[in-house]
Amino acid sequence: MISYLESLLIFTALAIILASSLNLVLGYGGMFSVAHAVFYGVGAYTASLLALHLSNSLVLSILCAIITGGLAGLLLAVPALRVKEEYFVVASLGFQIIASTVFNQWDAVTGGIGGLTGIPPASLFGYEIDSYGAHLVVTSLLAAAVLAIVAALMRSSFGRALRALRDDEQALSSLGRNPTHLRLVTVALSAMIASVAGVLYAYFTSFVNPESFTLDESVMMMVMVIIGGAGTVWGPPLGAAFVTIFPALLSFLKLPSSLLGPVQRLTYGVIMTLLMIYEPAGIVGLLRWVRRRQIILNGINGSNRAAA
Amino acid sequence: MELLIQLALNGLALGALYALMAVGFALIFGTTKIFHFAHGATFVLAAYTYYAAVSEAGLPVAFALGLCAAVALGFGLACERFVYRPMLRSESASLTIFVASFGLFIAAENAVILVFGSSYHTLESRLSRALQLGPFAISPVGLCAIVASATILGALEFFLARTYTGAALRAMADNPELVRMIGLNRYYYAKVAFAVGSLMVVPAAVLSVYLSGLSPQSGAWITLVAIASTIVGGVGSLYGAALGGIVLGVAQNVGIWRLPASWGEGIAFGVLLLFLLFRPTGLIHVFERR
Repeated sequence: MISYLESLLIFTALAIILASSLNLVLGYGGMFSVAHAVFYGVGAYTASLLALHLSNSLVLSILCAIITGGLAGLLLAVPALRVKEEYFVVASLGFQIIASTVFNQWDAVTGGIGGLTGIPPASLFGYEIDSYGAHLVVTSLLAAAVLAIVAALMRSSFGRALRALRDDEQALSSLGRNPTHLRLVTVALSAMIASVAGVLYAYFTSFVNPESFTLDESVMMMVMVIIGGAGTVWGPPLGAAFVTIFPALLSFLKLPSSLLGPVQRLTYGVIMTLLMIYEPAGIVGLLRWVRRRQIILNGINGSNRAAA
Repeated sequence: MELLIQLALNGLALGALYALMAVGFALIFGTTKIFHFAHGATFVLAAYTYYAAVSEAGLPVAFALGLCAAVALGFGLACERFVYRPMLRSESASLTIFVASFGLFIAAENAVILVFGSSYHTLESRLSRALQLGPFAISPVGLCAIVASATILGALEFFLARTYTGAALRAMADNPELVRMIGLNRYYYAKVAFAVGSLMVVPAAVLSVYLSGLSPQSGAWITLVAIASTIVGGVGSLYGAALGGIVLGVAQNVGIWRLPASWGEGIAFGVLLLFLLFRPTGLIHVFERR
């Protein structure tokens, strides 16, 4: 039971890293990417190959994954520079499908459909990370670091420029900022962070196969960001926690296991549509609404008391 | 060489179905500017309705077709009325509308999985058996797809070019502000676009049950293809969308001439990405420029 909880928390932390990194592109950058699982996968495959053939050092794996993930991000960024909005969605979908095909078919490197197995545990400063507890500590720390980085970035001039790019590209370029450059950096950065999650995933599960990096996974990451609240620091982690923990709660309903997945996704789909109609800022938007209402109510009560 | 022509022939039949989906999507997108991702959900719902009516309820084909059309029409109109219209009224951003549509798509796909399971279904008919044409083989269903697609696109062309409603739709695509100014109700014409676009799904859905079989996941693929064809063809042009569908269908089949079959999907989207990169305005504009 403890190990079940621990693995649930590890997956939540991974989801938080992924959702926060996707949020950079989707929420702040306004570029709607549905290819984030590709970078997750690139990171995972990079770490697995390194661990199997060269070294299982976590630091080295993360550094290499940042490089390969960043390069994959640049590949996606190329269409992002030429097309906008809905067309970028489609470009990223195409990118995801091609990458899935490559993961599945490039047997010599990715091991094809069977994937790569027997990945040794990672080592960090001479310690082996082989227990659930150790994984949980490392993953949570990195998730916290990612959240801190995203929050700091968004307070910096980079973050302001990025939001300006989303809201009014012409205004931004008239201020002398280069939109192309900004988009490139954002997509690459986001891909780098996602590939770090991939490294942690590969070492935790000790095997990788293409099934973990499909379009469905990308869509789930998007769902996390959207449900939580795109373009906010706390939305994506909230959404990530919701999407990872909700299925666990659902399993208490004693549904047949074949129905669990569809019921879950059906719920997400309905939530997404309803949120977009009534509260596009997601859970964070709902929380803000509750708080505003409270402040107003308090104000009314306060003035009533003053009048009495 | 013979193999190549055979593959191109298979691609043409598949491409004809893609073209129907693409033109429906392009019509809706062009006139309403709504990125109707749930178009693929219409496809899945229609196809499963037909499958269930014919194989599980044992209804006659004509009745099943009617039922299938009713479901497609109902779903398309419901999307427009209950999701997109409130969002257009509150002037939501286009990406917000896209996400809502995506949510609808996920919900519908999984509703289908809950009812029918996620396994693969197919229907056999006498028409599925291949006909020999010299060295080449084509199934009557494939021929049906090509003929149906050509007929329907011709009818649509007539509707858009010769009727008042069609002209209003073209005006919407061209200049929505102007349409409002002359006092046409844009919600009414949006409804018409959704009705026509959703009905065009019906032949594609029914024929694909015979031609390639059916699974709930096929909706995602077909949506991607519809959108990709619209882009490859050139946004704003229905001919372009039809042509794009055929190009993707042929590319998917011809691509496996030299590569293993499982690369087919990757190749189709490679074509899409190349277009996005080098010809974002699409095929039609390539021809017009000449």
